[in-house]
Amino acid sequence: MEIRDKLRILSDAAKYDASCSSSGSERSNTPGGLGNAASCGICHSFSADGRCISLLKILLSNYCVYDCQYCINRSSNDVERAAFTPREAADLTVDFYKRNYIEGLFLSSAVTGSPDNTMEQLIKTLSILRNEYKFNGYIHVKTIPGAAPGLVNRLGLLCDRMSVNIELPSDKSLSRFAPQKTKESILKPMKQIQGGIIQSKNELALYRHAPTFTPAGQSTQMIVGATGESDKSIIRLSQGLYKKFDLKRVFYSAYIPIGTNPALPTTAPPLLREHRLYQADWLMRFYHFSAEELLEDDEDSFSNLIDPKCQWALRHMEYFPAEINSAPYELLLRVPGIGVRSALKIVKARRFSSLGFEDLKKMRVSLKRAKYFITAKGKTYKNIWLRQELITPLLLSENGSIGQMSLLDEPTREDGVKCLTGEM
Amino acid sequence: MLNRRDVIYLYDGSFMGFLSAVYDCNSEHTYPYDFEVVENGQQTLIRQYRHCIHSDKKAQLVASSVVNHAGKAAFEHLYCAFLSQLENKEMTLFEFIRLCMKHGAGIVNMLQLDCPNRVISASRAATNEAHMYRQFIRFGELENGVYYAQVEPKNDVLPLIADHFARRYASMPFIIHDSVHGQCIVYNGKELQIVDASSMPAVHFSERELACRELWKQFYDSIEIKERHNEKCRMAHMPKRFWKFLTEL
Repeated sequence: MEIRDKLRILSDAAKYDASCSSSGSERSNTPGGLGNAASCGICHSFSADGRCISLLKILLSNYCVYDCQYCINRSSNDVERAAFTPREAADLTVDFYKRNYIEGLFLSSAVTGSPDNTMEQLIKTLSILRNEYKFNGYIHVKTIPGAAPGLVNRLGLLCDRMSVNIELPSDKSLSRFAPQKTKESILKPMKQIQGGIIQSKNELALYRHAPTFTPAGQSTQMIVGATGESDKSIIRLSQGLYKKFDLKRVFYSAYIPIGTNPALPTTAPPLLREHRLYQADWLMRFYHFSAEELLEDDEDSFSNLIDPKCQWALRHMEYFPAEINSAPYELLLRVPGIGVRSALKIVKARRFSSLGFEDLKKMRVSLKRAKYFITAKGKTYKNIWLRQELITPLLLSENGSIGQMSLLDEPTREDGVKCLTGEM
Repeated sequence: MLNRRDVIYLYDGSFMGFLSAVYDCNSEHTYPYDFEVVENGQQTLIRQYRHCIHSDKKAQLVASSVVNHAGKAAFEHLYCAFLSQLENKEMTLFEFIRLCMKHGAGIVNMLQLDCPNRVISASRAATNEAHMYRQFIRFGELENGVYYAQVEPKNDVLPLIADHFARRYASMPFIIHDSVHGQCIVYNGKELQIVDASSMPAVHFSERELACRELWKQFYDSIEIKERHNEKCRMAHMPKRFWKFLTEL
């Protein structure tokens, strides 16, 4: 089979992995070597679905022995199968990297033969790249659930980021649709990677040249909308993962109907829901919100009409309006429409002189939503009368249902487009 | 105290040239009418002109006093804004340097003031565009083994991206050609140079290069999830003006 056909089949098979971030690693180039990793991450292209292409995302092989119902590569599915040799995958990476097409490699694989056997192939590919080609670009690799700890360790020393997909947001769904995987087989390597990272950091503090173990941390992914979990249980699960396993990212992937199991949905992917989960994820990681605040016990899911931050603010009008010249940074962060950058700009600029709405506009702080929640020098925006019962209709009339649809098109506009794609 | 005078200071167009002109203004206690680049200035009779000789020593003094008063961040904004398309650039930057001396390091946060606001926006525009080129430059392998890329930036971004590529491709000779500003980054595997180049000879790509492009196009097509096609989102992240040089489009 020609390389081109293999590339077609194996990139097509890999595309349902959401992660494409290349951030968090500061690997520098070595003498005579090729490449380095930029800690901010760099997206080199955007595919026609608007997702970033930062890494060459391929499977090493899609001859899978597992039969996970939500996955396109399940053994019972009739798809074209192919496999790269480790050398072919490494050559392709280097050729693309030299032309500035990519930031590195995202390598995953179907389970061929046994988990250990698959891991050996992954390690071989990475070791050709790192040791033979002296490639210092970014490498994200998927570990195979059920592989021996020694192999996970060897892989971790070669890559920048490692991930184990949690796949479905609950144990029950997992046993129903992915019978060969269990919660334990997923959490065990996660725990091991976390341990490896901590150990490596400690060693690096002692010896400058100690080997680094997955310097960019680990991430995971779960499929949203294939099974019945609520938004509340999903974000609480994510929060748990961030806290317990120090994950860098949890990716959510709206389920695309590719399975044939009658229990799986056949409708279009729930993109707005995926978007709301990412918004909530950002609020937890950068805005000091907890999952319990975002969706309180009596709420189950996020609103279709307003974003999670607005939803929270409207339930907690006791904090608002906030006076921008005196409100603490933490409160500014919680004003809908004000992000981390704007909040920092305000906090720094108000040391010099007090700010009015004109100043905010000049500083390019968006007032579209914020104006209902702030005062400047004691006045509301254009002296509008802020009454709690009026804010919701005003917000909605401004966004309009059309405005909300456009959010769908640009999933991360509010939170800084570059975050999702890996520059943060 | 500087006296406002109807004098136009002429400099050679380089950043260091501009800084030495600023030094001259200060030593002559002059708040100039404007600065102009020597070659493209059509001199008029109603104004006085003052030719400033490029002096690295004078420029260094201005640079270090900006850094000492207002910090590295302010100096970086000054430099990046100089590379940008800021309107009334020299006078704005002249004013910015004066404000740096007056307010110190806080100047970069005083976005409610017009001058720093404009300078920092312009500097941001230049650094943002530089980042776009770190993302979207596409190298092609020439027959002689050199990698070549062409860019058409709005701002003069070459000095901002040169180091990035030289670090990344430390042992790979490459050329990045800015056809708008007529400049080239030339890297021979050891040394980095930015040279003037108004025209470039025709480039001949190697055979391997063409095969590699086909593979990349294949990857680009098959990585899309067709169910989620979203033209607007792609364009928001990857503006159309970059598409001209993208291999995959």
